[in-house]
Amino acid sequence: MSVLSILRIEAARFAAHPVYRRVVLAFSLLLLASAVWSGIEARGYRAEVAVRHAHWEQAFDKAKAAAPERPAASTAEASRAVSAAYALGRGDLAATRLPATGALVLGLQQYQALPTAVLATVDSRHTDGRVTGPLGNPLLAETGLPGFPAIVVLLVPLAALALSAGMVQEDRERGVWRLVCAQCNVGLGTVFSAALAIRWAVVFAVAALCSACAFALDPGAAIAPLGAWLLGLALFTAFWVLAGGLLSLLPVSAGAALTAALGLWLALTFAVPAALAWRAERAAPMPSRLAAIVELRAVQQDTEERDTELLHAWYDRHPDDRPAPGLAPSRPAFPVTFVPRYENLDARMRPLMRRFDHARAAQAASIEEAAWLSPSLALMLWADRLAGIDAARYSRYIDAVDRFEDRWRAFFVPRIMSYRGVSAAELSQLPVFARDESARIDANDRDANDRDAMTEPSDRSATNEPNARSDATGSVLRWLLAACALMALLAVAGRKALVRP
Amino acid sequence: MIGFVVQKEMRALWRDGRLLVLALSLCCLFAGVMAASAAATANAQSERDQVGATARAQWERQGVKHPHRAAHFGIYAFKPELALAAVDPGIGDQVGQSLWLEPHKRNMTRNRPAADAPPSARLGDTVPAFVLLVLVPLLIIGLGHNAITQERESGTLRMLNAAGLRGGTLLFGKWIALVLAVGIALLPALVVGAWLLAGAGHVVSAPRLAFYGLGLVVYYAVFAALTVALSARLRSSRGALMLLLSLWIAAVWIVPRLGAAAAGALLPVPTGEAFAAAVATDIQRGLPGDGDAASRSAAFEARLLAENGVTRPEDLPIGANAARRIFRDAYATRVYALHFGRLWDRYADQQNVLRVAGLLSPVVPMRGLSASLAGTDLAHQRRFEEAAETYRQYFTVLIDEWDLQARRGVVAADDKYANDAQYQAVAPFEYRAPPAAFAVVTAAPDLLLLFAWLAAAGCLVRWAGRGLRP
Repeated sequence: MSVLSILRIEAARFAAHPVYRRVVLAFSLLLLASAVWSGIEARGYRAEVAVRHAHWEQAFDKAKAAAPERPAASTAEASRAVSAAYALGRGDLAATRLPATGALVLGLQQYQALPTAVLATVDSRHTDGRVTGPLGNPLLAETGLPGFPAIVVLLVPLAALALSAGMVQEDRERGVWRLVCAQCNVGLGTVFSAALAIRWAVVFAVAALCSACAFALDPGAAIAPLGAWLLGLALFTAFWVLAGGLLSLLPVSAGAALTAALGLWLALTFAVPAALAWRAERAAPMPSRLAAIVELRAVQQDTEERDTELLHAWYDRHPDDRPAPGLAPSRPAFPVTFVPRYENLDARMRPLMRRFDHARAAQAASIEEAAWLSPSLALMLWADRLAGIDAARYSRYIDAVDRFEDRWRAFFVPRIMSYRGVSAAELSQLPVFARDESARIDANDRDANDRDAMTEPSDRSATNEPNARSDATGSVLRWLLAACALMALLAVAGRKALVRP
Repeated sequence: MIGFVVQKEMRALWRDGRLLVLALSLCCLFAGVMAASAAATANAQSERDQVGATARAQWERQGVKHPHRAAHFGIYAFKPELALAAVDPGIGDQVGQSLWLEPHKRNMTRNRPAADAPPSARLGDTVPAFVLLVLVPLLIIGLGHNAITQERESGTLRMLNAAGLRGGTLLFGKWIALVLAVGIALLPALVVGAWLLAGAGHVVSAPRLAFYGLGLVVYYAVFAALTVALSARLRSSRGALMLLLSLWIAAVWIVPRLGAAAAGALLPVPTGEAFAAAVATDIQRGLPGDGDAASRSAAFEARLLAENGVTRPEDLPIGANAARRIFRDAYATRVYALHFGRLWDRYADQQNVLRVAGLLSPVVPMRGLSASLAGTDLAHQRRFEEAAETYRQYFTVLIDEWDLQARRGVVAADDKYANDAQYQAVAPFEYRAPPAAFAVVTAAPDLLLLFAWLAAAGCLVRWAGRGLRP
């Protein structure tokens, strides 16, 4: 009897089992619903980005039409020009957005949960109370669908375990295994492996088709990340099918094997990730957002007390941008008195606020280090990376926002402080995030090294550790592969249990 | 007769060893999770208190400033949590930890803990409510899936039938025994939990705790009834286990999430930008019949000048800018109240759609009840934010009214004439959580739904008992 015949027979046995058919049907329907949902949401997200881009262009054209033809020449003109320039400087033209990758469906929830559309400003964005991005009902955010990868992580193990755990015990309890032992002439290990292979193929095929469906619904999806995702998915499915197979070798009843499978699922999907999160929090504690409020207020108060000093210091540093005679009012007034204050405030607050991103990136790195303990977590991290919403890339996005905000200030602040305002011709030189910075977020190591040189050593370890990790592309996949190999080895070691009728 | 069945079943569960093992595992797990959660909640409260005190001190000691600029420095409001929030943080991770109160604008809460959470958090929060609402039903299934199938497989069901024991009596006895067994398994864990809460300095509201306990008993009774009834209708223990596990997955993981997704899709909320733009438009163009901002301001200015018998703002015997601010902010407050009211109403509507999913899963109403009693639901959050908004109006108007009296005519924004005495005259923001009755009334639909589930579960047991065949 050839291996192919064994596979055929096992496939027929599998297809004839009513419980397995129901499990596969329910699994397929649920996963497909989630995939379609994610695909449609991703499509909606891209459409909204396109609408916002169109709005930006309209706003830009409007600003250009409203801008004076030439710089201000009198006090009255200067007053209007400064107000207009300040309004532009803190307006919506400074929009930034983390560019979505070709695997947006794998990380849409995170794109919506994190601030991925930060608004740069000549004020301080850290003291800005405006809400950008989606408003959401916190109850639905807490209860709602956790995104396609999380659904995969929850359902694929359950389907794999329901199909494979207790498989041998059930045959034994029904007296079928005795017949298999008696009739088998190719080795029970081959029969067992064929049964597991069939289960892997079914679960993987369903998950892969649903994934392809989700990607197909997203107009910006790409083939390469889909391939990478399927690779991770194949290994993940293999791990859980092998785990189920291993449990079915235990000398316990089918019910007990299923209960143990459920325990394993709970442990690897919830308990281990929670423990890893706790360990990561200990290794890189997240600073307190509340304590940051106190620090922010202290800096705000200090800059307010020193506003005159900061104003003079600014002019001392930029002698070329002192207002021309006849432009400035007799006594400097808002917004000129505010801008140097905000500049100073932001320079002092930025490192404080970046601590959160650094801690988040360091925690993600710590979790990734031990991801082999939980294949579910490893697949989530893989999905985040493919979707471009992992902690390292997000940190690079905030780096890009900071760089952009510096350029934005460099464009507006001298024009405000000199009372010249911004003319229509000058607006064509306006910094644009999508044009100037987006590409650099996904820049290679050279850019990261360039940043190394500009970063304080104390910040460097926290900032670049995740970058270094992201270079080790596929470390998550290696963990998944290692977990599969471990399960396979255990199954081989335990195959002697098969000979018991 | 039911008493005998209960007695026998309790003895069997004890001798089986599963009850002891599961109770010990549950107790250890719950104690660990509860200890971590109680400590974290107590630390968070302590930090809120400290930061609140420091932020207040910063407010009081701003020094000499223009009063309006001092008001813009703002005040932060922090929501105090109830003791039961350590058991069920509810929406706590999804709402901001602080609310910045400043003139002109009503802000939303900021600094959501979920945004700083590690990737593992998306798989589920390991909090005491997770153990109580998700894992304990699994324990019930583990203990009770073979309650009847085992009797059938071992042939004892036939003997009981021959002895004249009615199916209904047997099933009701097994149901009560299963609920009692879960209670016994859970009691040490709950005692340890209460001790940990008290140790962390929390004061638990007895009525809230009592309703929480009642909700849990009903919730577990529903799962126990489903388990016993399905065990009676299915042939094999494995089949019963598979079906019950599928139902558990659907009830815990699928139905609530699909319900939430449906609520979001059926009743969408605007984006932050669209919300802000709608508020700005209504302030600028005015609510129906009010005229636009320019005409409102012109009418106010004319009235102000006429009332004071002057022709120029510079000649007013009061602060002109402060008077304008009071007028403009009062209008903005009306517009904000309208839009925030609509937003919160929309959230409440979404919650009602989610409640419809509670017809398919008892987990939905139990989660609603749990969060409501813990003070971590939408209604408690809305109440807090509305209290903070009332306070915002109080302190900004107080500062403006002082400014109105302190100066005459038009004053430049860079003039500094307010000092610490004015800031210290603003009473601190004090918020008290609503009484238990508020939580119970808010969660009444959930409580009713749970009792409906209990009634349905009782009918299911009765139906399964009638059709019980050896």
